[in-house]
Amino acid sequence: MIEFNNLTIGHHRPLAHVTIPALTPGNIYAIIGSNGSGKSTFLKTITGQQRPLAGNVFINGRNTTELSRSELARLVAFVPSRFPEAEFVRVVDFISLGRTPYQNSLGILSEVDKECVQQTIRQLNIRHLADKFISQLSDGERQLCSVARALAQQTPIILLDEPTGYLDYRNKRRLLEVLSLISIEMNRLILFSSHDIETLLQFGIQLLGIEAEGVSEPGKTQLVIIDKNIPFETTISHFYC
Amino acid sequence: MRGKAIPFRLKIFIGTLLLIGLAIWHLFAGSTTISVSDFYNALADYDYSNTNHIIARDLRIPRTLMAMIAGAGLSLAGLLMQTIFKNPLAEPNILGVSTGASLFVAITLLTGISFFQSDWGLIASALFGAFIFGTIILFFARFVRSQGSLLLVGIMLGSFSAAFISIIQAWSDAHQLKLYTLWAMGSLQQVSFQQLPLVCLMFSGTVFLSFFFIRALNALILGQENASLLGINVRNMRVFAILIAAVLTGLITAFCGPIAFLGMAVPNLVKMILTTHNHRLLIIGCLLTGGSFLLMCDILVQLLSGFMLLPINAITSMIGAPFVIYIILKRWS
Repeated sequence: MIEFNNLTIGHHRPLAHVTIPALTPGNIYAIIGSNGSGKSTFLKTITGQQRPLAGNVFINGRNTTELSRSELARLVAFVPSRFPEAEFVRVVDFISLGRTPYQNSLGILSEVDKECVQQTIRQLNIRHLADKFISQLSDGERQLCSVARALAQQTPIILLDEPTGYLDYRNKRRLLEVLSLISIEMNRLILFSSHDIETLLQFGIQLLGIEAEGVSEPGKTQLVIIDKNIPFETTISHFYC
Repeated sequence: MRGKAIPFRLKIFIGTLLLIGLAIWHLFAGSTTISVSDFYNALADYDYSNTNHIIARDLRIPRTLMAMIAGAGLSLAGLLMQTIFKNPLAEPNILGVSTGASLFVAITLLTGISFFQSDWGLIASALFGAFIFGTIILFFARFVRSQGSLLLVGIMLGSFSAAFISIIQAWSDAHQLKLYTLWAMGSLQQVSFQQLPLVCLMFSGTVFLSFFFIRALNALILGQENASLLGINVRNMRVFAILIAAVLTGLITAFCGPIAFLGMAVPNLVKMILTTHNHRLLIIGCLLTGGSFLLMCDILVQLLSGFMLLPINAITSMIGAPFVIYIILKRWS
């Protein structure tokens, strides 16, 4: 569960005030808003990469600024928008890196770690990719593998920065199906940023939005939860000018 | 268990056999024939008047051990730097760590300024220089975003050292110049039998420590941001890794002179052979291949010694440089 207490996100200057209720496990949320509105900053404030300008974020009741890096790594998994470029990394080893927070410094995979990786591969149905190098994957396969790595991290919360960005229509739908399934069946809290509002609405994903410039007074921009009954056109005009 | 695990073990096993085989060949290579019993007696019952004992104990054994340590150590330093800077062309020489060691060795040899008044003064200078320049490059790495720029910074550090060294050379007398020039040509023969235990201890200590960074090194393959999100303290880890690379580079440079390209070529070769990112295997692979590579180069020097005497760093560069060009062409064209 993620709770926000008077949180203001931003980098040097405030981008948005977060006025949403707690985000709970078993649900999938998508955050929308124009480029530069603060979607990534919001995600990075939860992962601890960015400090809040004001207020606090609580993960399972604990203030993120008081959590150590390794404690956070066991609570939040993050998939950045850019897929890492690396040579000689096989998909199975890439997914195994999700087990890093549970390993000692020698980096040896325990039987539990191996079983967890194999289980993740079965769950996402990517057995056929396991022995490929990550440099050989297509964009759709890359996103699936990134999700697999985050799953193997066995965190209650998974954040993704624009996971549908590079994907074609079919892969977008497949990824959203997978994410929805994970949130419901494994009781994970999934939060990601995206611009594919129509597809998100079709999947019934709860939308959060950062108001567009000019909607509220300068400096009072809010990050709000979007009512599912609001018509599509209204959403667009409110969150993208 | 997947079937892949066995080939890794087989490759490591072949590497070990290769290293042992080359080490034995290297022990017996040279203009004087030394028998197995000479080696045994030189260690068990050393006789100052027996030339074969002197060659076996004071020349051959230190030379073979130093070749293995220098090859393995520089390769490991190269691997660490390639991973922490996420750059396949990073190595102690290019990034200025060994030029830092050279600069301080030059200051000690040419001006006599030293931390201690013994052989260890030179080693202390080299370690100090390697660490200072390692810290400088780490400092620049925080601001420089592109891979190429950091290499250029390293090359500039090298030019700076070279300029500084030539200024000191201009002020030095003939004897000091000769000492420095001989050192700079590189040799595996500088270490004495008495110094070996400490050199071996420092080498194995740093190798041992590097094994505690395997988890962090593996995660760092995904970049600093991802590694940090996986719970790795990237900043501390990079400082420790540079420290390890600097100790290895300083130690080896003090005894063997600046050896170029080995630290760049060997880790890339090992990655191609093992096709893995797992640093447990890569470290072992680099130690075995690096040791074998320098033994092979020195065996070549011994075989050619009848016709001409070649400095060891000339051989490593002649083999290493074309391989590095091959890596560059393969990646960026």
